[in-house]
Amino acid sequence: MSGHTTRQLKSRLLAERTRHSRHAQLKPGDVLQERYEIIGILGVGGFSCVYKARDLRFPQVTRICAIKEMINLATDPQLREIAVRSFEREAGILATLKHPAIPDVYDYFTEADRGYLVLEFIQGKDLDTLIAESPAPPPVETVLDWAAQICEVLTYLHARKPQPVVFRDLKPSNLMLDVRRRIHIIDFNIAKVFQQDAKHTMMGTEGYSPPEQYRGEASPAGDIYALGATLHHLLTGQDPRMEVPFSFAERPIHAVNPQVPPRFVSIINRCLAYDPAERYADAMALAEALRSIGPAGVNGSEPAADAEGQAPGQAAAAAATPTMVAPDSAGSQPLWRFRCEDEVRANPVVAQGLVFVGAYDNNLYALKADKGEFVWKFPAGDGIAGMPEIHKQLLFVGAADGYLYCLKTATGRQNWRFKAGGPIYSSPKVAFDHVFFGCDDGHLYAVNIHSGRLAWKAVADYAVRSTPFVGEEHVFIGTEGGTVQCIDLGGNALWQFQARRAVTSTPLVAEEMVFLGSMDNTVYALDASSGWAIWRFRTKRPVISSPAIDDGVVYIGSADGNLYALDMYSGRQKWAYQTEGQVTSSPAVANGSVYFGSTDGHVYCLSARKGELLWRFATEGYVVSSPVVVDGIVYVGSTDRHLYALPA
Amino acid sequence: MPNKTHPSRTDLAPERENGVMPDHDDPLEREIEPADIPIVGDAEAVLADDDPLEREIEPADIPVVGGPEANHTNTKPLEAVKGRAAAQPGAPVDQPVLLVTHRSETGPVRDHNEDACVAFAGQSDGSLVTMPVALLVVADGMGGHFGGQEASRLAARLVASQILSHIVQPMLQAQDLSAQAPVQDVLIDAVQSANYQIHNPHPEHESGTTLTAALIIGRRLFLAHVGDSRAYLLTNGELTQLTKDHSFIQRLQETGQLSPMEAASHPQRNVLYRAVGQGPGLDVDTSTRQLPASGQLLVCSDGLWGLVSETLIQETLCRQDLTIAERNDRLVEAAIAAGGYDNITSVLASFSW
Repeated sequence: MSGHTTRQLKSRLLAERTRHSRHAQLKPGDVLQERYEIIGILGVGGFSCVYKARDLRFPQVTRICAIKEMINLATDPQLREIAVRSFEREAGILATLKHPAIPDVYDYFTEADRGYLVLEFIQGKDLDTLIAESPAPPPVETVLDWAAQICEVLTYLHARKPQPVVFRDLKPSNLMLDVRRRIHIIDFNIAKVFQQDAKHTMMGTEGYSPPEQYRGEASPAGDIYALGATLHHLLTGQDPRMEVPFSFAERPIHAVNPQVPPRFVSIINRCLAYDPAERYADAMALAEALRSIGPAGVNGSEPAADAEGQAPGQAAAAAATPTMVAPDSAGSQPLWRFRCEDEVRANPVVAQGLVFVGAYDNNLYALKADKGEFVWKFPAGDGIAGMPEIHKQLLFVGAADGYLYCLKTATGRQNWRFKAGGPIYSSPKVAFDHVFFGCDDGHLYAVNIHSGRLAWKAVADYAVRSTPFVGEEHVFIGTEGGTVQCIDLGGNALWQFQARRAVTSTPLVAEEMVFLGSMDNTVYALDASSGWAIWRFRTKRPVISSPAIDDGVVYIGSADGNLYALDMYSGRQKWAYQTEGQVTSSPAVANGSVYFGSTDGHVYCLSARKGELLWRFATEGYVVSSPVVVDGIVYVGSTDRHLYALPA
Repeated sequence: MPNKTHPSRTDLAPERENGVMPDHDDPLEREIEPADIPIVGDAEAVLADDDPLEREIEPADIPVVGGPEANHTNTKPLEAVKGRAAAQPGAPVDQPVLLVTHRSETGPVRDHNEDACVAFAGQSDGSLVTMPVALLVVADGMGGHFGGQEASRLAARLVASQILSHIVQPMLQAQDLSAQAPVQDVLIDAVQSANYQIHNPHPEHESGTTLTAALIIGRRLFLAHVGDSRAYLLTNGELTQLTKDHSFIQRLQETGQLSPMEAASHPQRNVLYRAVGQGPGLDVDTSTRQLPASGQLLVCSDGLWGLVSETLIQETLCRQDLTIAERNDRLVEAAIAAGGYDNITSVLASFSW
């Protein structure tokens, strides 16, 4: 290909978006063939134009027709001749078609470098204009009716002998809705008689055309895909010409229009399968499937799923949109639950066959992880909000009474305790034989785990309620003053980042990046070596939840009710799952599932990849505690005073 | 408790709107005073010499942020670095090396060059120590009547100047980096503003450009990308493509409709579904990663990667007998030798920390 063509191809997309013709158009009053007087322009395509005209052969009445003008761009005489023949063939095919939804052909002729087709004039509006003019998608019943009508005319075309006629350019702008609410398909510009062995030229509108059309293949299944794309556009309002090509599966209909019956969604998804063999074979099969939805499906009650309900391959994945029906069953039977004397807001921890959790009744409980049997409890002087840290046979936990307690895991007996300058809500972390924790007195403490003696405390300026992240060389903390600080293991501050409001969320460091949430509604990614913000993601409410990372994805909750999955390298949202309460609980990821709680009282389990609900479990209080998943068991507390063990 | 760095305003800056000139002078950003660097050395107990905590400081992890003030307050770790470097003979004690070279050729077929590039590397030494910085930008324009040339030139110029003024200049001025807008937001805003400037609704003036910008700050790489120019990273002799082409044939390959072999000769291989200048709603790909200890970063237009195989690119970059400029020349010459049907632009960075 010459460089010149390359440039033209590259600019073609830009040209198509603007939808203007570079060529001179006829003016009102111009007369063609001494018979057709131009009244106005109905539409402008790539290298064609459709005029509204009056037939002067009928002087007594006003006979209106549509005239399609095709410009012959070929300069080479041979190519010109081919273009003219192809135009005449199109006219010939069109003239043999007889269907109320296909405009009649009255006449055709050529003048200079242009070919003209005189057609029945359809009074109405094309669907592209209709979508652009209306703020919301049309009602599902209406779209279903249009789909049935389009199927009917496609059935007619696909049943033509000796070869099926493939429309090849089905899209909203080629579908006209007349004043009697009937659909007509117009503009047979590239309609071609299907020929199995011939490679056709590449044309068609990016956005609605099936992938195989770019390989030169045209079949009735291609029209099915284009109809699916058109229905997707109608129901979502998302113009595929403005989206990534062939990305329908990544933009599920339910996500923007939950009113569409699941059966209709799965039918459309099957139309949009990449592989033509996985789609409905022809319009007749599709019409059959559409009829099975019936009025009941539209009104919300779902007929029993049949074999068609599950679309194969790619379409099947797309069909599995987040379901509105909560499969409560899977997680409904806890393995056990243990009642504390007050709310369990803290996060449990599992080690040595025991589960440890602090409660607002000032006690730290140790229970048998498999049965939930009570082993011991340790009373602190005030509430325990933090998560215990286990290091070998020692357990560390802070309390609102200002003490950091070091207990023996087996017995719960106190080894030592350390008095800080204020209440401790931060969870301790052990590394390098020291325990690091934040305190409301505005310090980060490092205490020797064996002696219980202070190694150092670093000034944080603000209360530290977040849990320190202790890396190989640095400690990262968030403060109630909105700062995030990087402190070396000698207690020296290296850098500080300032968010707009408190950082209660625990920083998480991965691949030299620090991830955290802030009360300023934002999730931040910082460069771990400099503290420079890399990206930020804004939610609608404060982010108290701490992030979890798995396979390049950051999972974090927000008080706006969502659990978000963000690409860790760009901050781009992969999916969001909306609960009915606030998500201040921090997610846990295990075996491809994400577990978290919401103030709507539920513990949720979603698929990590797509955010689809796998199960949820209802407690009788808020779930602000963060689940921990060990050996197929989810441990989580609730303000209903219980610690639950659920099957993962 | 002091609260002076805690702004009282609770509302957040409005979300960036598509097609609207981004406002870099976000007043909220400016409201935040330079962050206090907490008092250092406030430790109330001193660790023993054999304490493992003391041994964990690595030279690579002493960043330079917050300007000279930060350096002064952090004298202790800096001393530790010197001590360590001296104590380990054979350990690399050199300054980080970051070199950048570039070349853009019209090629034997085209009559003008619609590509544009910016190559830039900044390092400092002596009493001024900032993180090394490099910027590699390639734009490949499209659109007739020199519109493509204009578009690529404008995009490269706008994106480079915004990155320099919003990222590099604050570093040199020792401004508090933590108060700056996220690097990725600066990159996206820069590309969006180029998109806004280039977009012309009149069809006879329509033009667009690809844009791939790679920014290295310290050991971190940031990418902003639209179109089918590419960024490659060479690590341990392995070449990895870091960007995804926004082309139809790329999507067709992703949907399994096209093999890479078919794609190479597909008549629509140059049709993009995303370009700078396309108008409102431009989606900019961004990503970040930590760079390896040493390697090379190549940003190039399709005039190079469309004609030179990845194997040959990889082999050329691995040539130890050539300087970085010579390697880059070899790449461009290979594309010309293969036909040079398109403009060829190649920007190459070599780094070791």
